[in-house]
Amino acid sequence: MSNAIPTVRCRAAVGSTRCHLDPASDPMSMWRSKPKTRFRRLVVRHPTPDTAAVSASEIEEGILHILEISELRKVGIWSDAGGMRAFDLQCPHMGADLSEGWIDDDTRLHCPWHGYLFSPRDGSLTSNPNVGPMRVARERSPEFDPELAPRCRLRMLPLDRVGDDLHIRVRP
Amino acid sequence: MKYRFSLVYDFDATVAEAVAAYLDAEHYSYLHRKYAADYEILEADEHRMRIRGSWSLGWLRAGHSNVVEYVPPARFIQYATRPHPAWLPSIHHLIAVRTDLRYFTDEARQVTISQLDVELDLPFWLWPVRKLLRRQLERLKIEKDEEDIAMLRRRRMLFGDSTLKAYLARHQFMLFKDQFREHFGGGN
Repeated sequence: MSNAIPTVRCRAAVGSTRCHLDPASDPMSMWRSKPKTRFRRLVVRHPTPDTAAVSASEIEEGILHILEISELRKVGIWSDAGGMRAFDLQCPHMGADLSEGWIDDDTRLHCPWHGYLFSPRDGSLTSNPNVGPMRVARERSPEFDPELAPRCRLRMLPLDRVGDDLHIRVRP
Repeated sequence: MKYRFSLVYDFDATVAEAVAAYLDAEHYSYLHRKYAADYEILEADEHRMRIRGSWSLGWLRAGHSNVVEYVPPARFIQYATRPHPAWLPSIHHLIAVRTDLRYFTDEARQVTISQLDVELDLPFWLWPVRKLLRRQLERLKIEKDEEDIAMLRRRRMLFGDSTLKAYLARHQFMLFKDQFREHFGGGN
């Protein structure tokens, strides 16, 4: 199995069909709901290999700040009246990059793959919006129990104030 | 008049991963939200479901529903497309679409093949636009597959060969899950 950039290698001639995911080129985009995004990317420093640091003055309330640790790993910082928290931006459900999701007006972080909703305040899974629309087929079977809720929550990370900086321990 | 065509290409994942992604109903209105903001199961039995994909513009919620039939282990047939709401002018009042999707392994090259066979039943006066319709359907399939492959690739990088484990958890809903488990659940 190749780890190269994902491409669909077409054997069939597909004429002038081009594969691109640019919503601006989508003639139906005006019909489709547009997610609200309140994200900001920050430049991250590493005072030690286990620590990510950013300036505390860069953190604003109501914005999810994104720190890129590696290609696969991002960390989020959320601040509001309840305080400041840091957490992994990997969805604990299936592994989506939550920095590609969005935050709604009720301060819920939406996963871009399955729409699961997480609280950036404590990392809890607040709801699975798919339950209602799929009710008809969500019947108990040997392999599926509709009463079981997924036990997943965002992985919260220790965050310390060091002078004017915030230090996040990115490795246990 | 019937117009038939096929779209065949390599799919950069195992057959089990391709089938799991197809049956992962919860991802359609999020990862593939560009194509339908809402995804709803209207009817279901052991082998068939009627599924509606729709989106909203103000008070109007428009889309279409169709029947999806799973033929294990890796074949999906879609037909009986109906516009929603029924009074809304739609191409589905004029054209009947039947698709037959299969995933299988090319043993010689050890790659997964996606083969989509499409049959359009259209009135004679729409015959001149058949190739335009074909290109739109091909583009839709390729774009969705690209999104799925990107998801599967990330999951492989994170979880190695355990990409099916999350789908098979007791709390995780997927279409036709018992049949999927029967064919692809060995060792998970």
